[in-house]
This record gives sequence, C-alpha cells and structure tokens, in this order.
Amino acid sequence: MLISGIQQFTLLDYPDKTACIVFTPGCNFRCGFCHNPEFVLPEEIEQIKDSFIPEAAFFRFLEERQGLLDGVVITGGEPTLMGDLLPFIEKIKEMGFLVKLDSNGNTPQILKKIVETGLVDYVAMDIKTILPKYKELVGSRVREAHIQEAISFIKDHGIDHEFRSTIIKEVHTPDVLQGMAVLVEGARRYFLQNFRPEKTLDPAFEHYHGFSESELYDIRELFVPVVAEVGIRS
Amino acid sequence: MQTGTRQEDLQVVQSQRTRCEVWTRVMGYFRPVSHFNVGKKSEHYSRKHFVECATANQSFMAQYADV
Repeated sequence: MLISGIQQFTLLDYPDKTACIVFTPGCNFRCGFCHNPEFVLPEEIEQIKDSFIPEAAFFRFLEERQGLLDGVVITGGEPTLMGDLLPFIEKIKEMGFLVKLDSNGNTPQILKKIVETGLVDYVAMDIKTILPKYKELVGSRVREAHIQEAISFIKDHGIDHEFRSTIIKEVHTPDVLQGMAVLVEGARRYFLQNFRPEKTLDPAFEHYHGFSESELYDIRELFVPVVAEVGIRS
Repeated sequence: MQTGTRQEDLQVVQSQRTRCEVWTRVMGYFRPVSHFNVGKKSEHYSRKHFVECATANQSFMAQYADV
C-alpha cells in the first residue's frame, strides 16, 4: 500500500467516531474541483513520492492509538486502485479498528469484493453529478454503468454507508440536483458539501462558487424525501 | 484549435511562445529574477518550496520511523 499522507485525527470524516485518515496516491478521475490534487496528478505525486509513509510506520502509529481512536478512514486519491488494499484493511481490523472506505464508485468489482469480506464497516461514495454529465466533470475514465452499479450495490448491501456530493453553483443547477436526488433515492445518509474555491485541481474552478447557507438548506429539501438522513457539511 | 501532426503543432506553439518574467523576492521586495545578480539568482534557483504534504509526512516519520 502506498500511503501519501496521514491525518492523525478527525472528528468529521467518520460520522460519530474518532478516526485517523490514510490517503493513497493516484486517481482515475480528474475532478476540476478536487481539493487533493497532490494525490491525483502524476506530476504532483512525483514531487511528494519521496515522502510517502511506509506501512510499518503507519502501523506503529496505529498501535499507539489502540483504545484511543475508533476507526481508520481510507481515502485518496482513489484507494480501490491499490492492489493490496484488502490485506491492508485486514491488518487494521486485526488491531481492532473500524474501517471506513471512501471511493468514487468507478471500480465496483473491487468495491464489492472488499465490502463482501465484511472487513469494512462504512462506505462513503461520491455522487459527483448526474450520470450523463459525469464525463464532462470527472474526465474520460468514468464508466457511468460502473457508477450506477456501485450506487445500487451500496444501497442494497446493507452496509452502513453515505453518499456525498461537493456542490458548485456553476455545475449543480437545479435540474442536476434533482437528478442527483433520484440517484441516491433510498440511501441511508447523504451529505451536501459546499464547494470552497480554494485549492483546486483545475485553476478555472477557483473562480466558481459555493452556495449560501439558505441555498444549501433549500437544496437539502430536495433530498429529505428520498434519503433517511441528509446533512450539510459546509 | 490546431490541426496537423503533433510535430507541426509543436512548431506553431514554439513560434507563439513569449518570454515569461518571474518576479520574486530575495532582498525584501519583488524584482524580476532576470535582474538579479549571480549570487541572488543562485539563491533563487536553489530554493526549496514548502510542500505541505511532504513536510507533514516528514514530521510523521520523525515520530514513527524505525527506532
């Protein structure tokens, strides 16, 4: 497992749990609004690859956190691209931690394989936009059928899960948001994350806008009828 | 939008390139690097830029690397 970064503590990333975050390098998407471009663009990964953290050091850290942290969040980049993700998760579970896995849903075969082992306690998948607009937003590697497959799998499997979307005024028009509500219908949790035009993968996105608080609450109303729990992270 | 072979496109791009002036400060105020003296230029090129992630990883390793 390549570990491109570790955040030692978070109260936000794993709902109702204390956790640390493991970041993996490499992604099959190129979302212009991405706030972690250093873990996505090969030329940026190249710059930090000498500072990658060996698994051994991470597990030494985790030993110190036994009994203190509830879980480990694995995110990226896109962690399902890591060939040895499963043995890595096994080791974390053996140490008694909960595992939350973040994914963009483009690799449902791998996601299924991992979730069906029962080793993952929580799955979070991004809903970037409606399926026909994915390619335009995240690049040509997306397979819309895969995204749909991953969404259905997560909803039907019964694993604790959330879907979430970073929403941008210029991208997520009312029509698009309505379409997204259809996509996540029946989910357990859905989080709206307001876009912040700070560090973005595509500099053009730095000129785009997030929503105001009242707009966010209006958008939330679109999802309340179809999802059990709708939250706003802004 | 250019059409043609990649080589031809590159030549067109090449012909359209213009000089890019880099401004930075080594002496307390901003000046073009091309106006620096040899010593200041050398300092500028040997600068290491802060990379948040790399720095954070190094401090993690300082704590959790093999003892």
